[in-house]
Amino acid sequence: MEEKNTEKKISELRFTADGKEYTLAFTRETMIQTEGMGFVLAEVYEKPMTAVTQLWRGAFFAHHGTLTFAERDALLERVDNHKLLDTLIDLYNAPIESLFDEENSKNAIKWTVT
Amino acid sequence: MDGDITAIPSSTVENVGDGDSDTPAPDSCREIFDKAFPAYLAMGMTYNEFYREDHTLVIAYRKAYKMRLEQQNQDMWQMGLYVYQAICRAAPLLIPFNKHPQAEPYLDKPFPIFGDKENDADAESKAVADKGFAYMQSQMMIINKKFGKE
Repeated sequence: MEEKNTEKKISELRFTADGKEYTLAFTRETMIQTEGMGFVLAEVYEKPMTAVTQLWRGAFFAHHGTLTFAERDALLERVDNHKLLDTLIDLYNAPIESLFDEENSKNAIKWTVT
Repeated sequence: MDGDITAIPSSTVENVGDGDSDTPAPDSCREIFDKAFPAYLAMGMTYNEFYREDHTLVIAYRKAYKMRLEQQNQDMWQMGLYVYQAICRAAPLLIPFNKHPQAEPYLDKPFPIFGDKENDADAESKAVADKGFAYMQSQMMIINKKFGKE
């Protein structure tokens, strides 16, 4: 199982498992659905394991809504967890970030972590 | 519609995730989107496009909206110019004690939008003619030299 699309500003996460290609993404509607499942962005780092599961399940709604939660969880168990939470958070944030004016963010001060 | 078309209420941004119990809870996604949606609806976006389709569509809608505003601004400016022209041309009629007032006729054609085509065509044909004339002159000089005339 390989993960693609690791660029900084991601809006989709794709992987192939058992010959089937999966595309994980959030639309604004599926964000609301995920929130309805109990996901709270502010509590992500307090309950990271719960958050990963909820985000992972929610990210299937857009393109693979017919998969059961058990099937989604089975895929989660097989996937490489490295940076998965951060990637899923980026996916989740993308529909909100696109509401901001990109011209404002162009003028923003750039910063790095060392 | 007025104000910032990015339509994220500032209170929403301020409230996100500082973890203090004193601060009000951040808006849910539904609240954020429901607040932003009317602005996009006014830009012509449908419910499906906003909630179900590619989330980056909003960026294109914002750009298109800004272009539309610029176009409207340009149109209004041009309208003002026509009105100004009309008033200036009719101004002689408005001068008191003028025994034989004569208004200038209104513009016989609108202002050119994509440059003056007639003048462009004239300039182009003049350039062709000049080039031909120069060629003929150079040929005559060559022939004159050949036959020893100055």
